Amino acid sequence: MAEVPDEELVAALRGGEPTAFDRLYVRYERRLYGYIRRMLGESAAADDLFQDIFLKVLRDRSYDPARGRFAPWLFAVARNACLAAQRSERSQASLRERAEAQLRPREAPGPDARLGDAVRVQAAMAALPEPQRQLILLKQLGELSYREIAGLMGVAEGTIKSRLHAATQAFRRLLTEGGSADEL
Amino acid sequence: MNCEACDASLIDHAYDELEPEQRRAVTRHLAECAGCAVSYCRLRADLDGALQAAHEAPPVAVRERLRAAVEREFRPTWWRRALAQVRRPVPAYAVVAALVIPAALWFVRESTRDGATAAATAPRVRGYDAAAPPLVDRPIL
Repeated sequence: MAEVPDEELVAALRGGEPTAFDRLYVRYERRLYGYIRRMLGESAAADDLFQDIFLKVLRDRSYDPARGRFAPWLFAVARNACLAAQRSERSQASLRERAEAQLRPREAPGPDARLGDAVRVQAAMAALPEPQRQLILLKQLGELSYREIAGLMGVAEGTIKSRLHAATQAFRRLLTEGGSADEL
Repeated sequence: MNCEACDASLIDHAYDELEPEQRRAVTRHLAECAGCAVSYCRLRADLDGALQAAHEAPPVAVRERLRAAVEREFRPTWWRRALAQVRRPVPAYAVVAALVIPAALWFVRESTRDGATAAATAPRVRGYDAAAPPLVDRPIL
């Protein structure tokens, strides 16, 4: 059976079918929450922001499902919300402290090798400079195209392409060498 | 395509951002060149690892709160729900219509025909009973 496009689910929800929300939620919960968590770090703030962003996107009638994809809209709203939250948080804790907090594994590493890899990957992501981390997250979690990211950030598509190349190479370097952002 | 050109395109290939013709060229080269194929596999493994590590499910409580908020906000009014029920394309409606409409037509036709026949063959007189005794004390005027 063909999968119902996100845009149709949004239209159905706005037309009074709350069950459409469940399908949208399943598609985006891990991607959106993961994006917010990687951007903000703190769990409590991420929980509230996740809820606010989801509701805001569904409520906002300026998004017309007939005219554009849902994912870029969702992640554009998420990005703006995360940046606003970061600005307000910056006065309380420095970005460096948060990056260090993210570098620390949240659970004691177990014998599972995959868990070790996940922690290593998270550390490398956390060590990336924020603009680069954001690009990789938008590409990977948001599944946005170069063009969509360029539209979201207001820069040329070629610029996004070269920045994303640099970000990907920096991420891989961190991953293999286990270095810090200072080396980039 | 040579290895240098392939290497320059690997990230775009992994992100699925190449034009179809270029994608085919990279795919062909990867099929023929073991070195580039290994490079590509490593790149994909790193990117997939980043994706897996970044995925994270929100707490169940968050979902429940959000679901309740959506239910409050987007649940239609009672009359919209009733209208939606009626408008649902239920096949049973067609079956019911297929049975009821011919039956109703038959009933209407039969009742009008019985009435017409009875009126033509046996005109009824109200209040007259041939078997009843005559009312002798009935005033003439």
